[in-house]
Amino acid sequence: MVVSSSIESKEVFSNILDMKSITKKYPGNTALNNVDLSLKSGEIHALIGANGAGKSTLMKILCGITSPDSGEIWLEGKKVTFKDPSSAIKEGISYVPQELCLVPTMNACQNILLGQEPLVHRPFTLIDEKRLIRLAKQSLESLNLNIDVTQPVKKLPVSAQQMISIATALFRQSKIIVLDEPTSSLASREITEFFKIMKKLREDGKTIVFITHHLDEVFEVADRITILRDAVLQGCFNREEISKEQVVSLMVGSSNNKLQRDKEEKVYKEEALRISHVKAKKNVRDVSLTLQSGEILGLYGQVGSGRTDVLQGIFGAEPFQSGEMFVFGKKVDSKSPIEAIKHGIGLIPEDRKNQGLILSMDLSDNISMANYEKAMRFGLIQFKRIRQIAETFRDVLKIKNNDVSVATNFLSGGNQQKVILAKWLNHNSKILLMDEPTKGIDIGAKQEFYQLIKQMAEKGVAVLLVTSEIEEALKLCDRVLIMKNGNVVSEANPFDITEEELVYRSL
Amino acid sequence: MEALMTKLKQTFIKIKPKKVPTESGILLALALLVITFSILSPRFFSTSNLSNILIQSAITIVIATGAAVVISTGGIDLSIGSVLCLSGILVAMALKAELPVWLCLLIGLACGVLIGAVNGFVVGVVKIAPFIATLATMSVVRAIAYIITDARSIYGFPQSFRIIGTGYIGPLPYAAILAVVVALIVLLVMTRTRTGRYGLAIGGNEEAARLSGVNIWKSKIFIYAISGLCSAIGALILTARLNAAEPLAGTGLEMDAIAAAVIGGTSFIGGVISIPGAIIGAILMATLKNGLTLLSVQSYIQQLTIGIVIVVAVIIDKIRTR
Repeated sequence: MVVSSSIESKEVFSNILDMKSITKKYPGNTALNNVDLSLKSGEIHALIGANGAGKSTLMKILCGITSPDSGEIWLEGKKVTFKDPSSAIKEGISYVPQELCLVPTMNACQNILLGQEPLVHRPFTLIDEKRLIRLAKQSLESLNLNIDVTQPVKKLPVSAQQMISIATALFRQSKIIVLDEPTSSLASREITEFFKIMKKLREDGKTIVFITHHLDEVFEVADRITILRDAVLQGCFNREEISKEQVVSLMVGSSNNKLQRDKEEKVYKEEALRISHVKAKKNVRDVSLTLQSGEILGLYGQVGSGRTDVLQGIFGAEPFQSGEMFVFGKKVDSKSPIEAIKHGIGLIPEDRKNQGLILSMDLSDNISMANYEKAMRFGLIQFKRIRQIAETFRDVLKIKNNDVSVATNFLSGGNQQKVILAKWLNHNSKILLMDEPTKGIDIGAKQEFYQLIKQMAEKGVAVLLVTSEIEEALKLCDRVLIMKNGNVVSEANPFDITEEELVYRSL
Repeated sequence: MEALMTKLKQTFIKIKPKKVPTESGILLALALLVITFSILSPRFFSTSNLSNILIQSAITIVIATGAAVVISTGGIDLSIGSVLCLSGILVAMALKAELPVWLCLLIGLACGVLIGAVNGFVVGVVKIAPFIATLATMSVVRAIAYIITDARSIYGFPQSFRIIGTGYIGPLPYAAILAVVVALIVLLVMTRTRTGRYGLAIGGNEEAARLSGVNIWKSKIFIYAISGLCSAIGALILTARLNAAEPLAGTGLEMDAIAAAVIGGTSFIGGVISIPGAIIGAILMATLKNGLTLLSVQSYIQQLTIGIVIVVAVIIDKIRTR
């Protein structure tokens, strides 16, 4: 009896954490639908899924950053609710975000003990610097790290900053450490080191949740794998039980079908844009591509693969460090957006509210922003003219707003995107760079926007489209380049590739 | 399907926010103030007193215009008072050197434009925060004013110059007319020229403006130069009116300028400018000072009242834009 009961209790407690039937809804969008997650003590648990699958939301709930609409969290056999991040930290759960959250001007020790500084009380209450340094060093040493603790952390490499974040979690006696895309900003040699640390933490009995886009990494370090797709749990597997191909097919979901799409024969007349062997400070290692007038070229890849940085480089917003660029056969040095625009290039940026539009200004100003010259007489802007221009584009692009003198702040996402498109059409841009143009736009508006892109291509505009949506890549584009780790790894023919294959090549 | 389309249409067509001129609130406040003072003091609503208010508000109108321009582009200019002082001194020195009056005026204006452009360069090219950059200018320019005058006043100018501050057309002072004309020209520049629109775009969203091909640093130099020019015009009026220029002149005037611009509805968030509002704001502040003086209210109580007006104006603006 005694033996069996102890086995039973061991069964119960072998899971350090159970999240049960977690559901979280946002207006118009379910982020998590009845999702379970169980973590064992001393394991590395990979959490994977495509962009928007619900990984981040699940981890935010675990760490008390948001609360679920329904569902339960059981920690070591005890039901818990986390009101805020600090209550999760108290229960031993730490989150190391992708964008590290350190005070850049403080040194490693100060960061590790931030908010928990040891005090002395003689004669006034002051921070006990000696103990602070000793405690912080203990955490760092338990990671076998040798970090210069006197430097402000902004002067340390990213990998060291990451270690400091983990040391913070250790100092707080965390049992569960959530690492959100920890390898995305590390070099490959640093990644190897990082995995050693992860394995060491596992030996010390810590539980690690590891969010990543890189399947190779998952199969290198993870013990178990939980897969999410479209807010729904696809399953939890031991690493030995499952192959990469199976993981991808669970992530993508669809069967091995190709999309129904008729092959269109396009004849291109001229080369609009060519970049060869460009390299950027961040995320772009060696990229070459050619774009024809009238072509819609997709740039597919996971977040952080360097897609956005390629567009930023072409547009001169974050100029390339090396490599060559040709626009309509002419060598061009794109050092600033002003020059790129002169050469007929337009950018629809990823963040339309912060980068695309001047929200305090109305439609007509936003549309004329890159080309006021067209509406000027005697050096003065003719209000009537910019209104007319705006009204023309409103009608052509079907922007659903009768009054073009309304601040763009009041428009819906789809209409805002059309205003940005109108800005470049008004400037007669021949090359359009689009960065996730349909992100956060509802389905009806999306289809409409696709039609617009197709129409523009028919008229000879060259489109370079960055996307992480499979359907967008395969249904809209004439050709798709797949990016990974700052390189174009392969080219896909959207008429002849399965969704799974596309995703697989990008991981 | 049709039901879906109607629903889509309903969600897409946002109800247009009703258009009430931004300035109507502050105009109403000014009217109430005039009525109140007229009832409380029989001397208030007289031609001579009203024209007095106008002459008192002239300088604030001009410099508030400059302040509104800078603030609407997301910046701040703390050097307004110092620039006004140095411009006045240069004009005074030129007049004393018996240069032709037009040349003296030009020297004063050039001084303002130049210092403004330097401010714009430091903010736009060197990329130092506007608060710090113009704080430094404020101090440096004031020091230059003391150095070149040896801390002494310069006074006694020809009538042909003084008329700027003392002349009238009927009951209307030249100075006030000049101030309003300058303000309206700046309004035209800000709304009808490309560079002006770019300034507002930068105030609304600098990154989006940059990605639309706006040359950020050129625009900023232009913007701060306008502010400097406005200060210099203010200097002409002040120097002509007082018949003197001194290194202490204009101390703290930047605060009046900023207050009038803010009362007039120019937002510190940037992207929004109201020059008519700045004009009315300046007149409102002058009216308040004038009326309270007529009622023999002590000057520190006047200070208090102006402070309260600023806070109330900003709160109303916050509620209105919510």
